[in-house]
Amino acid sequence: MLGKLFKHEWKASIRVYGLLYILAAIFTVAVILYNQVFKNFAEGLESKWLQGILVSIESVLVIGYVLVLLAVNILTFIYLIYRFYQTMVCDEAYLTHTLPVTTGQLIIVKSVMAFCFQILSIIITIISILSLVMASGEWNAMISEFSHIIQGIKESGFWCGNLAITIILGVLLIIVSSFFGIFTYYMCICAGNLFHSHKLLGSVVVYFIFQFVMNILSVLLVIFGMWTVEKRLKHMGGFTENAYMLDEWISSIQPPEILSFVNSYLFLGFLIIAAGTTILFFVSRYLLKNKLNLA
Amino acid sequence: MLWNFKTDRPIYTQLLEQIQMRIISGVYPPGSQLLSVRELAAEAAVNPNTMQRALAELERMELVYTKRTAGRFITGDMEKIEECKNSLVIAQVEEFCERMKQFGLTEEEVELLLKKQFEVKK
Amino acid sequence: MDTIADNDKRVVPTTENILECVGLSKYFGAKHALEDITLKLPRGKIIGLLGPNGSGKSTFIKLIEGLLTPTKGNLLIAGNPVGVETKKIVAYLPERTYLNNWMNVEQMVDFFADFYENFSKEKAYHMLQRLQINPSDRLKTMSKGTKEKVQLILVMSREADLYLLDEPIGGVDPAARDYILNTIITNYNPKGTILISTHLITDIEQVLDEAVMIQQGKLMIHKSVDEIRAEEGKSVDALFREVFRC
Repeated sequence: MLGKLFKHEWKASIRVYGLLYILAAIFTVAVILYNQVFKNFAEGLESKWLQGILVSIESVLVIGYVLVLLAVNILTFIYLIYRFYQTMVCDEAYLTHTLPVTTGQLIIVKSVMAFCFQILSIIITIISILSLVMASGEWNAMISEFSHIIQGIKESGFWCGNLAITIILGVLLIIVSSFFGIFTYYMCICAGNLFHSHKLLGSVVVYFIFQFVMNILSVLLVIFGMWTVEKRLKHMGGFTENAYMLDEWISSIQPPEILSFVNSYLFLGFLIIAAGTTILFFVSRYLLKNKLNLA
Repeated sequence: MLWNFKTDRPIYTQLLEQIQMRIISGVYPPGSQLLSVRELAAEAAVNPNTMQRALAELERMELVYTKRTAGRFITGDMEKIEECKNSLVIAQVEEFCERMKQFGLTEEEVELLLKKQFEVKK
Repeated sequence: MDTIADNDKRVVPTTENILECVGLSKYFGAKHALEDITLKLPRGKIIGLLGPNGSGKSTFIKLIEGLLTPTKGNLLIAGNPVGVETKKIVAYLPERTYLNNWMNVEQMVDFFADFYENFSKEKAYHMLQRLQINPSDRLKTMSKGTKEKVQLILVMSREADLYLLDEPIGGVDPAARDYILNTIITNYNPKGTILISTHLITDIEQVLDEAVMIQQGKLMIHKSVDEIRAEEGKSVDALFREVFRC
């Protein structure tokens, strides 16, 4: 049954996302083509005035292109929220909630597909930008720049096993944060549904309250984090108030140790956000299962 | 022939009467096959269970019989049909007499009325 | 005992009653939408859920379908509590149009066939054809009446144990009403119970086996229609007007 839900969610969503991606593709091709034409054409032009116009058009195209890429990513996000709202608490919810599946399954499928489409949008954006780079002949320059960066990392001593862990933790953190964001909006929509009227307004109010609470929590966490950093550094250094020895010790720390220290916080952050995501999921599921209040 | 049901009497009894009338009047000829229960129910716009009960009763009265895989048929037994007609006719007559009594008419007055009615018809 | 055998060869179901509830209540804050409903609905019957607007009919149906959870009491469908298993055997037709807008009829049929094992595509297409509804028509372009008919067809094409029809004939023209009643009768199967919620009783009386009357969330009457007519000497509609006199 999960597979069917995924299939259907894909079919329903790709109608909209597909349009966005096609739009991005059109603009990418337009910019590339215009660039080629412009290069071959404008250079040999006598009239400064005509050249000026062509440059202006290119600027407009580029601005449009950037806006489209931005729009693709933003609209992806907005649409995934709208889709949840539409199918879980609006009229179509009568169809969704009578299917022989559990509420948990519905929420999981929608959030996973939402995440996938966000990734897809980012990938399309990257492909589009890389296409521009390739078309303008800067590909090799870009590759060599990357090699320089990697060379630099290797020379500074940070290229070690712990770096791999850092990167992995970083990716996990991004993934779990993404889900946290998705579930935040899902939870707000479910909470808004509790209200008898002005459900959307209710969702917005809940969202602001939630963000407010989250901000306070984040500040507290950061303060706590910094306190632990201080405590741990002192513990690792093995002494207390001597500032001179502390400085010397700090400059003698090796990159792998630095990375592992940072990794511990990345991991902690990952756990906290994962826990938060799980809580949001269960709250959303509870609200939909037990407090469903369809019009 | 249209199905016509009154709202203050059970559908079941009205079904029995109306199917019997159809048999007697030849709308359902002797030996002919009946539609399936569901089709009859749909035609009469009544509950299939009620139609089923009515048909079951008619089977018990031997006006209708079931041939195992073929379906339901009206009996070919003319005597049975005649019997049925007679009992329905008598029931109507009894009801008529009862009504006339309620109007306060005597038997002679009723006879006179009937004679007049038949003369007018001629 | 005779059953409506015809061409149906069905396995005898395991529970005698399709629905059993005891002390079922649903409160929305101070409002008691349903109060202490104790009821048994047998299989293979067409049952009317009758009551004035706001009497709790929709609430009861939503509880059966799992769109609401009870405040008190319990509810069993074919011996199971409401959940994924019961949703497989319960077919629900809500009062409103609930199909998504972007699909066409064919896609909607495939959707139902995908999620519901007991869905018959042949039946659906047969009924659609009778109404001359083209499978490639988009739901978005249909009139409200046509959409409602499509919804009814989708529900009746499932071979469910319990059909919940919430006000199927309200706000519908007489011809459409006849079509709906005809569909209900012709799709009837002895394993399936049909629960029709309505306040338009005259139109539907002939089709009902039993009548369940609810007022202000409480169960007032549960009798067979013939019983009511025989005992009270009046139609169910007339009895209703008496019982629910304002």
